[in-house]
Amino acid sequence: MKFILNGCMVERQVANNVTLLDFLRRGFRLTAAKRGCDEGECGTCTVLLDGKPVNACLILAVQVADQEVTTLEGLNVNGELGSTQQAFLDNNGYQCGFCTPGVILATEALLKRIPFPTEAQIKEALEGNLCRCTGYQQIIESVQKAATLRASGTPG
Amino acid sequence: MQDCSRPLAEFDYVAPRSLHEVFALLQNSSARARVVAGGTDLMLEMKNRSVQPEILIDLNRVSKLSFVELDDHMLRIGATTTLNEIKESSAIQQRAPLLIDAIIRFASHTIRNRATVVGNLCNASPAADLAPSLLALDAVVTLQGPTGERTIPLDEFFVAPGCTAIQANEVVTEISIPCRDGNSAYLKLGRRKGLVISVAAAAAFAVVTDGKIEDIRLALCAVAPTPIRSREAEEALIGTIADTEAITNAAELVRQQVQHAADVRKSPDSGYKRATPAYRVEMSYRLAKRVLTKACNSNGVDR
Amino acid sequence: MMVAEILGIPFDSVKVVNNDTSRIPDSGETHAQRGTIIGGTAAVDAALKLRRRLNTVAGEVLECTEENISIENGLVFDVTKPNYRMPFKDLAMQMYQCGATPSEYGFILARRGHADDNTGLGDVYETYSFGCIIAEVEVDMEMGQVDVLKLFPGVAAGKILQPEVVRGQINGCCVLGLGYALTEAVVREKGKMLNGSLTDYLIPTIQDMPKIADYVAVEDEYKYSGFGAKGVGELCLIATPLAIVNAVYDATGVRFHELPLRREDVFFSFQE
Repeated sequence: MKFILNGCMVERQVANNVTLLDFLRRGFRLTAAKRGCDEGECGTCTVLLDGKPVNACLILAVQVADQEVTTLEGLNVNGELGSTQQAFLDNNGYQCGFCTPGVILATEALLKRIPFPTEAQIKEALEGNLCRCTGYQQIIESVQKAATLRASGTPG
Repeated sequence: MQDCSRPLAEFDYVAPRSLHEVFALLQNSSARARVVAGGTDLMLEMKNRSVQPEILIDLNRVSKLSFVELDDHMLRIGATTTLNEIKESSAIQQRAPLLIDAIIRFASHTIRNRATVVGNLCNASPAADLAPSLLALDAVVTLQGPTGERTIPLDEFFVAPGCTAIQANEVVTEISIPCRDGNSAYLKLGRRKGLVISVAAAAAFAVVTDGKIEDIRLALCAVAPTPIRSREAEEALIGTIADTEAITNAAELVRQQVQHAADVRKSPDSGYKRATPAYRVEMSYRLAKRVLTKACNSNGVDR
Repeated sequence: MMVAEILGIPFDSVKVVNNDTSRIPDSGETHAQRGTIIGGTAAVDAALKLRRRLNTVAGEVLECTEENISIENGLVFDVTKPNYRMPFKDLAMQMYQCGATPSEYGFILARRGHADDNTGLGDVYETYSFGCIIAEVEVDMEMGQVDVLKLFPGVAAGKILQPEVVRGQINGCCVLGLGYALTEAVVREKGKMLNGSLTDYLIPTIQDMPKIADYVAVEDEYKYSGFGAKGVGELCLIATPLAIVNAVYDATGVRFHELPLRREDVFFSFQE
């Protein structure tokens, strides 16, 4: 089946009973999306489908035919970190990093929708991303810094 | 290397473009087929193998099944409209804020980019989060099948935990809500604040004129085998002044209604319970009191 | 960070190489926040020894005494003639050229602690860090709902080397402790865990986080570690649920002895 992956059209064979998550990780070696719980409760499998964050563990690969899928690997701009990634790096927005790909993608989608989100809007957008390490505060701050970076025209 | 911790069984997959095709597929293989929209419940069932369809019919490519429309004082929501799409609809925000109240407490933003209202209702969990609001709004379910179209009021739609009034080869195509002016209130209790299944939840919709209750609807979920309307409580309130005594009496009727509910978890073999029946009975009383108070006593639409 | 400080070079000039644990002596397990003291102090030991040798070589090159050598931001100079500054790279080159050993080995021996086999009590570690939490809660007794409004953390963990990292540790533990107190129940039947999925084992989401005040740090510097640092790690985890339970008692007069505070247990306790 055909779909757009990180900006490139790809065509692959895939069985019906393979989740989008497994397809990305094993079929394309795009391992930023993680299998944390496999039931849509943790958000570590978050990818963007037509720009919207979804749990890849709850979607079949065959369902995304002709749609656009973005993983964390697709956020780099010419090999450089995007502004959201840089903001998390600079503001202690991660510790072990397991939740981070999902959090960053959810953040990207949020900032495209709402360039300067309130704290309540940030919490709503990230409600499906569990984090055990940070206690969320520095994640929120990283999102706020990312908003500023984006507004100042930093690419990504 | 272990391929996958919970591999799915094999099945055929089809993504038809029209309802006509859907019915043809169902006709040929109804017992072995399942339709899917958002899939956020079905995928879990398929992963733990409690559901193993031989054919999976994806409704997401069926034309004209995703919409929010306002027709002549009826809000109509198509079966494959996602919860976030509904949440962003200004028509729903203005005319059915009680539904929005429930949606913002539903799962997570990420889940809501796939999950659908119709899917939540068809899954028919006793804790169906969107049911209290839709019951309180007098929602009507539209089903289509090879023999044509029919409608069922939502409070006749839930038959048993996990079981609805959908007949063989039928598909729910939309849910409609009559627009009415009134005040509403929604309250959900969960074991944590975010991304949580209801321990008990209640929704109320009231039309109050000069302090008297002209019309009232009260519905709850997660306190009985199916989501329920509290008709006795409603009847006791109609025509009365919306004071504490009237509301307390009505809430007491709700408590009695819920009193003998069994534990609401769908799968009977699991020993794990989110909350004890005794607690849900007590909460049904308190939730009813709170949403009734809010809906009957606010000057504007309540949030 | 500590090595850069001692050698006088920029932080980015220090590369940490992940080694093979089979090549080095067993330094014990990762626990009890010992990383900063054990690993850090050994690194400090090595860096100090190396610095002394660097000073000796620099003194010969710059024709001054070792005591007058200063290295700042990767530049080496004689404090009495500060206008001429030699890049650290050149000093390193000099070490090779005059045959001075350009590497050093650091060593720390932590005293073996002892715990009584019967009571489990004893002086197990060299030193201890201390954490303290104040919890502000609001209780809806009608619903059995406990809301943690704000947590105020305090630590006495020696010198705080990286304040933002420490803040991350503390915040993480406060939320972990919140889960421990309010939502994380392990439900077992005949030894089998019934709620082993994240749907049923609930950890705090971002919507559940309380406000957390800036932490107070009392820098009780430890005499025997690099820069007087101790460990923070999961220090605040221990106090958080206890503070919450104590705050609930303060608010309602009801003492709870089991965690988590399940809604129905809280509710029915208030009914009595």
